[in-house]
Amino acid sequence: MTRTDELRALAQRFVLALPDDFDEALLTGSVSRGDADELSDIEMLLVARDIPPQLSALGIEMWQEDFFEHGTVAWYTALVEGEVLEMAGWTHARVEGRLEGILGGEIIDHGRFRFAEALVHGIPLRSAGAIGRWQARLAEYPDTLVEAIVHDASEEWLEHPLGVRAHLRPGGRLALAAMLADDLQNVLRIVFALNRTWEPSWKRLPQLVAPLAVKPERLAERIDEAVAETSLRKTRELVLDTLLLAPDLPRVVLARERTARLLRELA
Amino acid sequence: MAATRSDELLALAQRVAYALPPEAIEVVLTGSVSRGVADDVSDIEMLVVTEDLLSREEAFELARRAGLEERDSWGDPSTPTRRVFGYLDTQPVETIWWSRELAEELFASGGSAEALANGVALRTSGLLARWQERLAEYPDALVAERVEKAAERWGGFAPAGLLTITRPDCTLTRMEWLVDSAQRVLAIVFALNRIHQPTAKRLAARLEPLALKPERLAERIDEALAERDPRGALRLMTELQLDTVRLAPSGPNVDRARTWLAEGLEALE
Repeated sequence: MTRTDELRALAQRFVLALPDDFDEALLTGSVSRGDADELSDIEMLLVARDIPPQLSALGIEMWQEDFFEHGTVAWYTALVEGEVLEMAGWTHARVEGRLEGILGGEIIDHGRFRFAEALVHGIPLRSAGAIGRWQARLAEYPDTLVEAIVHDASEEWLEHPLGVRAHLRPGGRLALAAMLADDLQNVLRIVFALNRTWEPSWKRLPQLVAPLAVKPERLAERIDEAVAETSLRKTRELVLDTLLLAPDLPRVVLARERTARLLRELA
Repeated sequence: MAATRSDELLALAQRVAYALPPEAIEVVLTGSVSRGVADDVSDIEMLVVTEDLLSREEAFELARRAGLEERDSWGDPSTPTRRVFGYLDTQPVETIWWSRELAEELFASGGSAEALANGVALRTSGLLARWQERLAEYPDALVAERVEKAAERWGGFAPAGLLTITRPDCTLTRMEWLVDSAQRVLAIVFALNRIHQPTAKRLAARLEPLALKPERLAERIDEALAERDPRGALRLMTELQLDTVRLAPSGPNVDRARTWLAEGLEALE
């Protein structure tokens, strides 16, 4: 039995004991993808008919449970047989609202947008049918989203080269690292959009980008190098190669010019 | 005594301000020149407020008449903020143009607080003095609000979850986590000292005058970011986070973070 099988079985047993306040339970994360390792925990989305209940009050042992947004959103952590289960408790309305926002192009920030990837690759452990309908809505990546994401992700590359170079002052490692982390995340957002693939969390990156057809050469390796060396030049070279793969939106054209100029100045 | 770099750039900024037509109702010098700490990569940064919103072309024309050469723009052209970059006597000058209405709106939403708090009026209709008066108030409630918000993410999931980003194939996630944690540490430290948080550029100099802070704060942030061993890097940052919340006033998120970070540190040992 693999680690993935063990954790799936454990998740299934846990879901069987959940109250029927939840009519949908979805396994997400590495356990749903089938590549769980020793460090992996079990991640799930639980969707309540009404509002997410207090599980500790129903006799289910919780390590912690927190409620947000007037009790309509829950975050549950349980420790079962030495394993950690992290679960988001949402309402149907919240899932629907998030899906509409994503499909309509209003929600494109990485933090909220990646909900689509979790949902589409999740494995239902309990369902009255809604999960299947949600997954069907996400089966096709809308064309309009490609341009929306490319446009949004290119904004920071319009900055004047002098302003960018001010991040290279000695003693400013945080300013530089913050800029490079944003740059690399935006490179990935564009690459996933160009491949019309829902963007995931960036953990275990090499295996996530391996199947993508459209991407700069040696993408994962170059991200690692840029991070390890905190290198502005390597990061922006990757940015330029990514922008060259993107559609010629006005902002993309300008960002290419600016990035090429910065790279000439850095040479 | 020789004029400092800041003095030289201030004199140039004043020349730009004098040359602007009366449409410019408020001209504020910001950035390192306004703080008197300009170095050889510093440029002159100025905010110009006009009664009405200018088109990009109008802003370029006013900048030209004020003597700026080789004019160029940067940033997103689709927002109402106009940005004109140029040179005066070979020195780079960045000008940002806001209408009065936009200026009030951006100020109310908390934008540019640090730049305005340290800004120097080169021409004024009273706006800057009013903004600075408002920014000078930093009540306890604001300290608590900012500290609690910054500590919000330090808890909620099992602390052992931190170990997942020590994997060798999680380099970018780890960098993002280190940057995010450092920025939250700084948000707390600046709030505790009742100072509007500046950018992270030239951080050591910004932190130097602060009375309340963990020991060797700037150096420890650099060390955590430079550490190549994943667990080591997370440990350095978690220690710093823990030292920071120990300086903060008690509150739901701060109290939770104290326990959670201590458990996280144990998991990382």
